[in-house]
Amino acid sequence: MNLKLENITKQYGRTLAVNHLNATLSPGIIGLLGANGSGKTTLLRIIVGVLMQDEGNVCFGDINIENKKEEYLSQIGYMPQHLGMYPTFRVDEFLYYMGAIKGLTKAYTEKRINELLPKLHLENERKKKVKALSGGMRQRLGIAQALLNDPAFLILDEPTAGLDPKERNQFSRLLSELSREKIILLSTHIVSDVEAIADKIMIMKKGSILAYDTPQILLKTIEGMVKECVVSQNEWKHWQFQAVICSQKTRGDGIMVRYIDKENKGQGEVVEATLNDLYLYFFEEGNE
Amino acid sequence: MRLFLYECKKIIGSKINFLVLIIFCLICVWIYNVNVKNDAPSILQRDYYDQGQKMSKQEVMQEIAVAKQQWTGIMDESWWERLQQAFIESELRSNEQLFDVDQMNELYGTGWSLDYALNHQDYTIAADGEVEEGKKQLILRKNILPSTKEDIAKDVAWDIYMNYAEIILKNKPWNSEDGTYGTMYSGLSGEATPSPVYSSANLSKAEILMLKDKMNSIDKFYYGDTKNLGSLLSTLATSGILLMIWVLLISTDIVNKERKNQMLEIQRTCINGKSRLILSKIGAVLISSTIGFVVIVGGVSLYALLTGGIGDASVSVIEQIYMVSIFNFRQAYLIGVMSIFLGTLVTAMIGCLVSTFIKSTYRSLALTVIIMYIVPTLFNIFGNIKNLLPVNFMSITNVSVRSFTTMFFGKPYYLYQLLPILWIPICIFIVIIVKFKYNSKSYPII
Repeated sequence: MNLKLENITKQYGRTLAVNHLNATLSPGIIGLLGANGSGKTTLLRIIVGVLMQDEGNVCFGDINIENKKEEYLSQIGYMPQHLGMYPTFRVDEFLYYMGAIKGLTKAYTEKRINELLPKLHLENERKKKVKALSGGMRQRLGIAQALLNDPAFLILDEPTAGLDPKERNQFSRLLSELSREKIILLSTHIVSDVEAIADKIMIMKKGSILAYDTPQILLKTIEGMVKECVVSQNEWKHWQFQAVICSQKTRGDGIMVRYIDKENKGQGEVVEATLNDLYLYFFEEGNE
Repeated sequence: MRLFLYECKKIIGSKINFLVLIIFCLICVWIYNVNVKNDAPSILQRDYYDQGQKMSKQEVMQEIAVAKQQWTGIMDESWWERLQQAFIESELRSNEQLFDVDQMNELYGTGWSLDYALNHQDYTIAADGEVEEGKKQLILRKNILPSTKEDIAKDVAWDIYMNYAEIILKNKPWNSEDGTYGTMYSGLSGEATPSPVYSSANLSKAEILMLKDKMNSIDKFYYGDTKNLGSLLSTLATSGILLMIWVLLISTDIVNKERKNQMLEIQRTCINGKSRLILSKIGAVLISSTIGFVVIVGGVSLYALLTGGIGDASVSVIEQIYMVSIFNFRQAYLIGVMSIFLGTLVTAMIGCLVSTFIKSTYRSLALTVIIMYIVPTLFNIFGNIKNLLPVNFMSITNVSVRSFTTMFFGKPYYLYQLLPILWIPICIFIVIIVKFKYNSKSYPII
């Protein structure tokens, strides 16, 4: 089943947080990329129904979610950007509580807890209090609660914040393991989180979608524009203000610079573009 | 149901909430002990001797209890006659202890003691050897005779006569000459001219008449040993206020604590995250408040019971001298407990209401305290209507008669009858407002 966003608009005072946004989300992992303040969280809150849009509709299949709210809510799993939880609750107790709020039976909740805790490497923490968990463990618990009702539509807002590289890797693998039948919308500003696993990438800027397609197609946007060259320290001073720098590395003979040559006039060797280059292309590092 | 139980756990499972509740309960027990000490019968202040040995307070207490036993029962005609006789005997014994009997017999004959017992106003103790004209002189003993174990029963009879039976059966102060219920306070306040209504009683004419009618409708009064029931009632007044503070602590953050825990956003994406959740929260606050009520009020009552403080509850309440209540101790206790319980639930509902509207926990608590304490002050301009507010009616168990009535739209009512009629609909209305606000689409989640 698809989720359709039709002309979604949300304004806070004079600031247009989401600007007449249209998109169709299909099963698979969708990476929602955007800088801080680009409107990602506002869009996610509208999708999960905690925030009312000023204009437009969110349709799950052909049904406007406002008309079948309960049915829609039973199909979604949401992990917000900030999730404090209850410090004095035990891990399993918190999940039982979430099961009760989600309207799941105790038996089904128990079954899901037994499935999810080992999968999220939280089995040993089952009886620990939430306050005793590390930041990474709490994130994984947040994901567990989102998956508790085995949702058809999983929405994760900055789920990797606070995770170390190993945990990020585990998290990426977990998402890949999840059924391809689900729509997984993963909001982040860290490109590497979605690079390897996203079926589609949605790039948001100032409340609008700049691009939304498969990574392969999106990368064609900057095909031939990404170059690498070695520059001296003196040249580098000029470079960093004139080009979109994707990365730089100091070497014995100078500085290896990877940059985006929009007009294809600069020096260096054309290299294969990555999602990180694409992100920087849209957000022009240093100017955003 | 599961949701409700988890919400209960959040409140009761909090160590701080639990600790504060226990501390408040201990404070109430301590206050009860202080009240018991302060309310100790005046007889206990005297020294009594048994076979030359000074009796301990415990021994005196036992004798007092035995002496009170013989007066337990309906205060009918024969009881009253028996008490008057015992009172005279007590006076005679007291005269013998205080005055030089030989010299007094010489001066006024052997009948002086009975005459003095009945006509105190005809006698005087000579100051600087001069006797007031027209009065007989009382000659004090050089060494006052000690009181014995046998004197305890006489002193108890004297005490019952002076501080209880005379007021109820003889004086009937509610029918005093100026026709007001309030005159009974005048003797206490030392006012030269009894005021129509005791200055701080603040009773309207209609309330006074209602109380008078009620008192005159009681045809049989009862006497018994109440032990420390008076102290228990006084303690309940303080308990009500402490309980109110605890209930505010647990209720003023039921919603904004979720906001603080950043759970509000996720809860509202769940099927049961709106109406059912907020109703579970309200239910949990009400149940937790009831638990708090049981711990504090039940705790101090149980302590009084276990330490032997609960006596005969059928006795009419008299607070200090002349302040006769229309209620006996049983009724006063039940009304007090009911008022505190109702006040607990009302306070919980007000806390929930404020918590739903105010984002910050501290502001929420501060605003509720203002509502609970400042508003009654503003209501002073409406006279006794202020007694309908929890902060006032939760402390009415000090048994002052004046607090049990109130004027409402020009008519007098017993406060305890009016409270549920007024507050239960208000609480239901609060639930509707809270549910409506919490469910609204524009409800702020951060």
